[in-house]
Parts: sequence; C-alpha cells; structure tokens
Amino acid sequence: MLSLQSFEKSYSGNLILKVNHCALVKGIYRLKGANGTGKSTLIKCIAGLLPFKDTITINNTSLKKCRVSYRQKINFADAEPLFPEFLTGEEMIQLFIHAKNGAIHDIDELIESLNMRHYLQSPVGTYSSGMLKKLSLALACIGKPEWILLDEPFITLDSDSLTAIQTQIKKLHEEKNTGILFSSHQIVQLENLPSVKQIFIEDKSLKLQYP
Amino acid sequence: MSITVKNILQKIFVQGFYRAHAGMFIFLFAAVFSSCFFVNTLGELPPGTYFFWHFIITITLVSNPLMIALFLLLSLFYAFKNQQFIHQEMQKAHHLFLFYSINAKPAKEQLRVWFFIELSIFLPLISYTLFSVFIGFITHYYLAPVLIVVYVIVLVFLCTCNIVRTLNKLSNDKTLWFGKIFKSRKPFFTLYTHHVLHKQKSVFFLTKLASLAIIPIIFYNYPALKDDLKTSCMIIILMTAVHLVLVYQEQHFNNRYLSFAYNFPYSIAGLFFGSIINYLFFLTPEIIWMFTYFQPLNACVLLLSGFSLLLLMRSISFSPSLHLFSFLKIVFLVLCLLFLVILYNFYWTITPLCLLLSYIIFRENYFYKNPA
Repeated sequence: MLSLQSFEKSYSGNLILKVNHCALVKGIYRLKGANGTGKSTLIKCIAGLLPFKDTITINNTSLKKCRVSYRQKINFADAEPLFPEFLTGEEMIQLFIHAKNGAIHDIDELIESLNMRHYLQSPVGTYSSGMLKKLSLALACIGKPEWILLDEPFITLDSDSLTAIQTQIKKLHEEKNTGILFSSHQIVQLENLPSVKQIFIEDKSLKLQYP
Repeated sequence: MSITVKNILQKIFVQGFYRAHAGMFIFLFAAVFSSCFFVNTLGELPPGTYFFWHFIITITLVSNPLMIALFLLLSLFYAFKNQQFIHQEMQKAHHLFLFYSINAKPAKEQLRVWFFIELSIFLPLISYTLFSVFIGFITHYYLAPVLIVVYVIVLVFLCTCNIVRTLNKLSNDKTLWFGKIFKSRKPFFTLYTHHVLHKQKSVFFLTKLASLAIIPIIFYNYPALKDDLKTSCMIIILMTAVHLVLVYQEQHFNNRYLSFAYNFPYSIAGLFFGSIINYLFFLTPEIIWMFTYFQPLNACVLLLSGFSLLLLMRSISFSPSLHLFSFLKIVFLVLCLLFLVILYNFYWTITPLCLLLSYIIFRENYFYKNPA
C-alpha cells in the first residue's frame, strides 16, 4: 500500500498540494488535473526526487527513514527524460539493471513491442523524443518494483507504442501485482486499461474516483 | 549574399563568442596589457628609466622564446575554444537552419564568409600579432613577428576549413577515441568522468594545465619544500582547489542528466564515496607525481588532504540553489580556514575534519535539493 500522511508540498512558500491522508492499494491509477496543479510534483515526491513535508510510505517503509529499501520498491519514468548523451540505450539498460537488481528479461518483451531493438546500440544523444520516451518507460519496468510511477507516459508516443505500453501496464499489474500510478492530462483512449482508477487534483488536494 | 550571410553569422557567432567569453577577455586585458603599461615596478627607479623598464617588458613579447611559445600555446587554446563554441552553437535547435541554407553555396564562397567570421573572432590575437610586428620592426626582431603572423593565419584557415567541413558533411555520428577505450560497461559512479571527457575537454585541459604548472614553478624552484610538509600541504591544497571548477560542474551534470538516479536504491555512504573514483581519475597525474616526489607517508597525508577538500566542496555544491558566486565565496572562506589550520601546524586534522563535515553536509544536501 502506498500511503501519504500529512503530506505537503510548497514552492517558495506557496502551497501546491496538501494531503492529510491517502492510502492507495495496488492497482492502476491515473492522476488527472489541469496544468500546474502538481501532478508531476506529486509523482516526483513519491519517487523520492523532490523534498516534501511529512511522510510517504510503501507498506510501512518510509521514504525519509529507509531511503534505500523504499527506492527498491518504486520505479519512475520522467515526462521529458534526459540521459547522458554519450551513453547508448543498451548502457542505460545495464545501468538500471545494476541499480535496480533487475534482469534483461524484465523488459525483453517490451523492447520488442515498442520496436526499440534497432536503436539501442546508438548513443542517447542521437535519439528523437519518442525514442527517449520509450527508453525511459522500458527503464521504469526494470527490477521488481512494488509501484511504478509514470509521468505523462503517453506523450510523444505513436499509436502502436500507446497500445504496447498500455498492455505492459496491464500485464505488470495482473501478473506481477505491481501498482501503477501515471499522470496524464491528454484525452487518451485507455481501451486496454478498463480497471483504471482516477485520481483528481483539485483545490490543492487529491480526490479519488473509482470506475 | 555575402553581406547578409556575414551579418547573420557575425550576430550569431562573433557577438555570441565575445558575449560568452567577456570575463576571459577582461581578465586577459587586465593581466597582460595592464602589466605591460600601467603596473608600477617594485622599488624606486632612477628618473628617466621608468619607460625603459616598461619597454624591456614589452620587448620580451618578441624576443623571449618562452613568451612566444606561451603565445602560440594560448593561440591554440583560443582556436580550440572558438571551435568548440561554434560547434555547440551550430547544434542548437534554432541554428540548425545553417545546415540547410548556407551550405548550398559553392565551397569557395563558404570558405570566404567563414574566414571573415574567424578573422573577427581572432581579433584579439590579431591585435597582439600586429603589436608584436610593430615592436619587432622597431627593435629589429623580425623572426618572431613573422612566425606569429604565419601561425595565426594558419590557425584561422584551419578553423575555417573545419567549420565548412562540419557544415557540409552528412552525418555527425562518430565514435570518440575514449569511447573506444571505455567501450565496456560504464558504472554509474564513473559517468561524470565520461561526461568530462566528452563535453568538458577544454575545462579539464585547462584545469590540468593550471594544476600541473604549479609543480615546476614552485616545487622544482624551491627543492627545500620536499621535506616541509606544512608548506607542501598548502600548495597541494591549492593544486586540488584548481579542480573545484570540475566539482561545481558535477552537480549541474547530476541535476540535468542523472536526475533519474535520485530514485536509485543507493545508500548515502555509497553515493558519498562512489564519486571518489572520478576524482582519482582527475588527479591521476598529480598522484603519480606526489608518490615519486615525496616520501610515501607524506604523499598519503597530502593526497588525503586534497581529496577531503574536494569531497567537502562537492557536498557543499549540492546545497539548494547555490550559485557559482556563492560557491566561490565559500571556497575562498574554506581555503582561508584551511591555511590557518595549516599555519598552526594542525594540518593532520584537515582530512578527518573535512571528511566528517563533508559527509554530514552531503547527507543533508544530496536528496533534498530544494527547500520543502
């Protein structure tokens, strides 16, 4: 279970988001909200990339108290990923496999379905934004995370890749019982994700809506 | 065509180059020209000899082989810097139009336009060249001015050819020499070293030049320093302080390209000590020299002092919203404090003190970059 207790996030004293209590059982969640409401900020806080007040836990493992074991339970893909340009896609995958204790077979199928194989040996600096996005999504699936956080996973993807990534999300949840939280403000057909629950960010707070 | 293209290229590259390197030019002007014309000589000079001594300083520009060699080296660096700047500008999205516009013109015309642009960028060196020609002809030193003129023209021409070649070739995809050497797995903690070798070669080269220049200038001029651990410690700390520019750039690299790694399950201690591998690489020439010059125990003491300073400054560099100017002020303060500690013979405390402090600061700063 992913829990937020007395969570607060501000930028330069301006409150962006306040969550007194929120507990998410493992499932597929879509985080919705207008631009600037704090979708990416919330996801980055949960991923451990941004500071916040007070507590975020996964199954009682606190992000602030048990930094290493918390980070073993959570993976993240950025909305607009940036990686060192001199590394190849293959080297990035090796890096994540090493850091997240994963294996190449975690993402073998995804690499095929996203049609990534042909460019993985080229340096990341030569990738288009769509290629980078696919790589970032594949990296987020490495290891055995309990939760995967995807910030705007559908932007810059072609329609085939959209279907492939939705299938992967569904598969991860059904076969590995991984919780998925993704943000999206786009109007995207989620045909492969009928059980997705919606979380709205309104008035600097979270509102859950079940299907 | 040439007038318009020249104007556009001048706006993008010439003005851009001078704007980007304004600090360097001000420093050079203050350091070189004012020392020739305005700096008073030490002590009393007999009346009438004031201009004579300034003339002697000025004439060394064309009579001293060391001065000429230094100028040739600096010119090479200047050419490298301007090539790097132009290539970086060309790769920017809003300048990509250059790859499908001016390269449609005949090669000769492209060469002519870019030669003019390069001449404009080389203007400070050309001014120096003209000055040396003037001095050389007055004082009958002809060889040095001719050499300098030919050298600068060749440099300008080579730079021009290189730019035209880049603009006209189809693919920019190439494997770098160090890429071939380090083709095997690139561990996470070595990524900054790869980045420096890939993107910051000139900064690295200058850092090494400044750091290694201290060795012949100080240690081989004052051999007694070999057994004077106190003074050596001060100088080694200065040598390592030269590398702080690379330390400051590291957190920029981390925040820009390795932000994903804040999600990696690495321990604080692992992250703290992991970076040492980069500094080991940066300081390899100094480390080799230290162990050949000093007693092994002394070399260890000096090396650890330098390393602990780098780690301390690295931890400080991760402070939220720390700008370069604030970082430099902290560097100055830390160096002053360290020199005081050394002055009172407590140099052996530098390593444990700096290491402890840097670990505590790193623990606070690494994950939480922005105020909550």
